[in-house]
Amino acid sequence: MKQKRLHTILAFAHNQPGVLYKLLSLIRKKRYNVETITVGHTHVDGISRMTISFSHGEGNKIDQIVRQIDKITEIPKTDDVTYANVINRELVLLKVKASPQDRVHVTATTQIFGGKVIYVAPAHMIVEITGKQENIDNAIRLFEEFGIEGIARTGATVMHREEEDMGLDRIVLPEKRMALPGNRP
Amino acid sequence: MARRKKTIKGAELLCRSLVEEGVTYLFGYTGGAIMPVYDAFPKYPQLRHIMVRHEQAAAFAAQGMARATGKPGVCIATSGPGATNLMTGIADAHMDSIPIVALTGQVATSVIGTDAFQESDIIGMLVPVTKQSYILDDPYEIPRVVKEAFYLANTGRKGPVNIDFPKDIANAIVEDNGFDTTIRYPVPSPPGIGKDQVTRAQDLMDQSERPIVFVGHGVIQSGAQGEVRRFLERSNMPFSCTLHGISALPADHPQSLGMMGMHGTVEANRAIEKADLIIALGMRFDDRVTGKLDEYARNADVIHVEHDPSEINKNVRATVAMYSDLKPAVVEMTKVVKPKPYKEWYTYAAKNRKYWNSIDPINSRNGRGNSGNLLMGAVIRKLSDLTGGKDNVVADVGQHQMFAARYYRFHRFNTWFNSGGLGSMGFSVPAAMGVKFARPEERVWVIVGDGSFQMNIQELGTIMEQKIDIKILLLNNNFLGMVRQWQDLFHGSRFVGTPVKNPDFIALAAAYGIAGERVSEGKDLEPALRRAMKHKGAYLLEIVTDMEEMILPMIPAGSRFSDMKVTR
Repeated sequence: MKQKRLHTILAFAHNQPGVLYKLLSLIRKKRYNVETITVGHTHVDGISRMTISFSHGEGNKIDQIVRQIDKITEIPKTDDVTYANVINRELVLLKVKASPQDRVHVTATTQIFGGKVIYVAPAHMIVEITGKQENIDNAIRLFEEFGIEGIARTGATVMHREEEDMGLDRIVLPEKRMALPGNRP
Repeated sequence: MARRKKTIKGAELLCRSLVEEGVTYLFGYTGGAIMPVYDAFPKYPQLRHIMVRHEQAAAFAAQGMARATGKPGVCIATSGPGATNLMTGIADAHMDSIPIVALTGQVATSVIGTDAFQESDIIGMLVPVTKQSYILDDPYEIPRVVKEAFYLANTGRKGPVNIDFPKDIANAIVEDNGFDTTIRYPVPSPPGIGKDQVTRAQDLMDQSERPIVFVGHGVIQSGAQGEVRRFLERSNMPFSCTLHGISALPADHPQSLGMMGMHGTVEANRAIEKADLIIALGMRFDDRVTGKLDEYARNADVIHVEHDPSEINKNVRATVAMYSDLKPAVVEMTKVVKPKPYKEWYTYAAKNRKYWNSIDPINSRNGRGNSGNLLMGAVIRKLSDLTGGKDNVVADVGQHQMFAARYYRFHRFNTWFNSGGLGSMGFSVPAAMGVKFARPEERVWVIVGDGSFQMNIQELGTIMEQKIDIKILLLNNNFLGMVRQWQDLFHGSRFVGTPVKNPDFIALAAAYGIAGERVSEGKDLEPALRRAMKHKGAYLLEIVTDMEEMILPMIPAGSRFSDMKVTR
């Protein structure tokens, strides 16, 4: 069965207080269905990378969503990267029921997905898998055979394979600012 | 040799930054957290503070100033309730893309987050309804933030910006030099239009036999009325205004079909229904404009010119989307458009206009309704005739607003002010104060109903104190007329929560030292209007109007244009 694809938006944000709040406020007020959001630093000081994946049902609105996010002052660059030349990865930790007899099977299944077993307890194991969101979904389906006791997914993060336009021309970064006078209150 | 360094207080730095932005008026109300700023006002006589009687009025007055000047208006309030009271006016500015800068006091940074007295998370509350909000937690940031706030409010799609100003920062003393005023968020310019778009637009215009041009708020805000007029007169296409496009071009322009949408004219709405091409200039296809979206203008291709790309394809899909400032796009289209007579098309419009005039209730019975009382439409037509359509009109929200939009024949650019997007009752009186301060030499009318007048009636105090010469035309039907109309049409005439027990408005005005009179006879209307016009100072003219009057035509909410009601 072919899965419906999530829509993924990649945005770069000026690292200011309240940016995430603005994004969430927008998502709430426009009632967009979000699957995951990941936010982290980039190699440019003061700029964060935000990867937001939307339910497949939002496909026909995706242009509108991009344009709305793009209006947030602190976000200089927003793109729909669903079909772009990007690497899209998510990490999942799975707590899988595993009796001693099952351990070898759980380990083998983990290896199919290029994952690692990172913890073993008498009755369960924790495995770590990274991959595209679809692959993670598949992995979870396979592990359900053993019984899953916990799932911790990070949400997708996305990087362009080649050069990335972070919208730096649309923002003046703090280090370019003049030195501030001393003796602050 | 030790030289003493020059210092300045945070509050003074704020005032000086406002002066540098060219601010002359601030509408506001003081209080605990904002006091240090008020304390600095006497040092900056360029700033004139107008004390309102409720913070909501400060936000609307700032809007009036902004709408009349095209530059950001400023309102100021204290923390907590002062700030939250501004909120309706700020949300209103956000919906109508009006540039205002709202300054709010905040408790000291050391107690933020402790539920201190009069603390509220105003940024948290305002984020959904502002373009940008700042908390100034560093006094050295004051000049930069103020500059950027004015820049953001007035650049690109305009809108409100909030600056939250903690009390300790206002009281901080800092060295007075070396401030960085770099704009951190330059607003990108729209890319403009390419050859391909012009060619596609040209093809559509060449093929079109039934085109209609939509004149939106953007035409006024970008000052593109000259370019748009040249395009219209070159192409000979008919045009229709959105509620906020009114007064972009003269109402009696021969190509004008009047206002579009829910309470638009018969000729505009029937033309839209039949059009094969819509050229939408600076507007956003709001639901009051479109009615039922999937049935809207089904035969028409759409050329949409907008500088906010999020409005393109939001509600109505554009055949040709022009993400561009209006002026260059309209100039390019003017170069390629071929004039055509559109004879049949204009005949169709004329037929519809004639039909409406034959059934328009204000044309019969001397402009009176069943009760014998005057009809609002007739009153506004009289006002329009007497003032030659040349006055500033600030309407509130309700039936009277729609009558003003339809029956006042605006002759001068940008003289029509009202709350369109948010539809905030209480808008008119404070907004008119702002308009009057911006245009002291011009006459300013408030057109208001008995319901909406009482939503900011306390501003009669401000009008008295500041001697603001505005003429208030109060159309009193002792009902919340617009809701009554819906109850009449869609709720079995069950008038729940709409009859209003009113005070003696003339006596109330008199208590504030404001002259006024009440008119209930048609024959007294014209002399009374003339007295109001002649009177030096504010004047309250209350007209007793017919409570059963309906603003028609009407396309019921969410209905098709073919469902337009033209009679009761």
